Amino acid sequence: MVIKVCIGSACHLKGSYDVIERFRELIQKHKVEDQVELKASFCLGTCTSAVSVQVDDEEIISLLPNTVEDFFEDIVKDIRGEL
Amino acid sequence: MRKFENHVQMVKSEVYQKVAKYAFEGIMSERAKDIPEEINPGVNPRFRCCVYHERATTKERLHMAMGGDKHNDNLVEVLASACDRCLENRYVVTEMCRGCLAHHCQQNCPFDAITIVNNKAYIDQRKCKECGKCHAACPYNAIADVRRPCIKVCPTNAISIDDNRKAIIDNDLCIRCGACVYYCPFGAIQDKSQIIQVIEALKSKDNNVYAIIAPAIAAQFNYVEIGKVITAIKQLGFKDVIEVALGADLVAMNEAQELIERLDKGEKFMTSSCCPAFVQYIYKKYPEIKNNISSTISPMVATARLVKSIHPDACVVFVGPCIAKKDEEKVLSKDKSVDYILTFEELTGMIEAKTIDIHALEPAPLNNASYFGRSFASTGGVTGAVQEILKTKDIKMNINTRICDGIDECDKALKLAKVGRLENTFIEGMACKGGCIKGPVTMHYGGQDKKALDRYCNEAKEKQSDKALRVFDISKIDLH
Repeated sequence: MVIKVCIGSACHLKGSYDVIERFRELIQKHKVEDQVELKASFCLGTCTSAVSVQVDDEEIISLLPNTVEDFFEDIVKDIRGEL
Repeated sequence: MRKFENHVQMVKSEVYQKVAKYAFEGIMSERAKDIPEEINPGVNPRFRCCVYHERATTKERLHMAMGGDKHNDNLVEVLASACDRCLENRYVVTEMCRGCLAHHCQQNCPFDAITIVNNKAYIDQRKCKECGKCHAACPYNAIADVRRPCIKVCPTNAISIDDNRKAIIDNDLCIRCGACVYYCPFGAIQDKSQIIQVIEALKSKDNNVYAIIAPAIAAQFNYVEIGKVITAIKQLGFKDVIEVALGADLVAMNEAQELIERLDKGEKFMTSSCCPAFVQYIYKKYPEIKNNISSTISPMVATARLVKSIHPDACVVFVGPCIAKKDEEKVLSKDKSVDYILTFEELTGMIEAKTIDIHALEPAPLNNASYFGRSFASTGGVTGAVQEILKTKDIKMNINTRICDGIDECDKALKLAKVGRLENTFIEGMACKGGCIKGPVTMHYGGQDKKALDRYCNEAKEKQSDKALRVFDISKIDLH
């Protein structure tokens, strides 16, 4: 699974660097480094709903540093379910 | 609306607009021949002796906008029909000569070149050695120094006069600084453009063209806020707009590290490498010390590699106020990280060609780099950024910096360095006085430029270089 976080200007101003750092921490915490690849991306085209995040080729969603954890918990559940 | 600071800017812009318009519409090959007449219609000239002369100069500008002479590897060329063949003789007695009794001019001429005819001074140009003593001696300033502007500003004496009294450039001496381009009052020396290639890249369906923008943008668009310019750039078809100041942050970190390593190894000094005209100057005038140039790539190349580390298929277009940058990749860099290079003038021509009403646009943010990365655009910025990194890393090394503002100051420092008498350990060299915000093809030369840059620096979300780079895997980017 690839999680892309937009680091374009609009997303950066809304805290995309913090979003990436939260993801990094959570990936480590849940030890899912082998299943989840975290990538930065330039403009994903949805600047009004920053911070833009895309999982694989799914629809782009909007996250903030304080909503990353809930979102990631669901992802981890999915991964554990798959295993 | 954009206000041109002179007619040279205006006539260049007219050509860029036309070329961009026809290139976007895909009719350039059919319409190129019509452009000189479209820009100079009717029978009345605007500036020159006749409309046919104006069309001839427009034709040459058009040729430069379409890439210029492919067989000439210098991106700066003289437009023969635009060169006004300025006076050949440097010192000329003007009407201000009052026919005084003292004749200080004559007294001070070491070559006996001045005689008094009908009570007024007369210079025998065959004897004159252009020493300037008569010019300095006349209390009425009656002897004018009318050296050609291009020759006067060229720091490497690369410009001379041919048999037709037109300017010619010696490519081996030219450092591409662009001083002649800015100073020629006839706009007779110009830079070659890649505007058509950029437009073709934008028109392809790949949606992978990135604009990387030099921090000198802060002082370019004094008629519209930067946010609206960013929206306009995106409307041209660029996927994203990234600050070159982000690459500058990377450069600052790497250069600080490199400086420490070099001084540890016992080297006496290191020079900055971000100004390509300064680097060329060392290569051509002081080759003995070329190994002292920092091997760190420029912010432009660093930004391009950063973009390509995230999007490997990206097509990267640099936009800046610089002419020498157009040659940097080819001459100094190992690979083609930057695909195309534009000036702010050319970019503006593209925006105007699309008839985008820039004032009506919703502004978009531009914020990737740190305060220090942005400060690279004026003299002292590189040094400030490197010092800040040494400070935050708590490195107790005594760095003795020397900031060289303009090529004359660079020359003084390099002369000392060459003979081993330089006391400084870090030389920052900026070929343009004031730094990039005073580059040869900036759109605006005003007293407020530095203030505009300072404001822009303070608006950066990140205050320090390492913070601006914290999400990038910079270990994978080659910085040399």
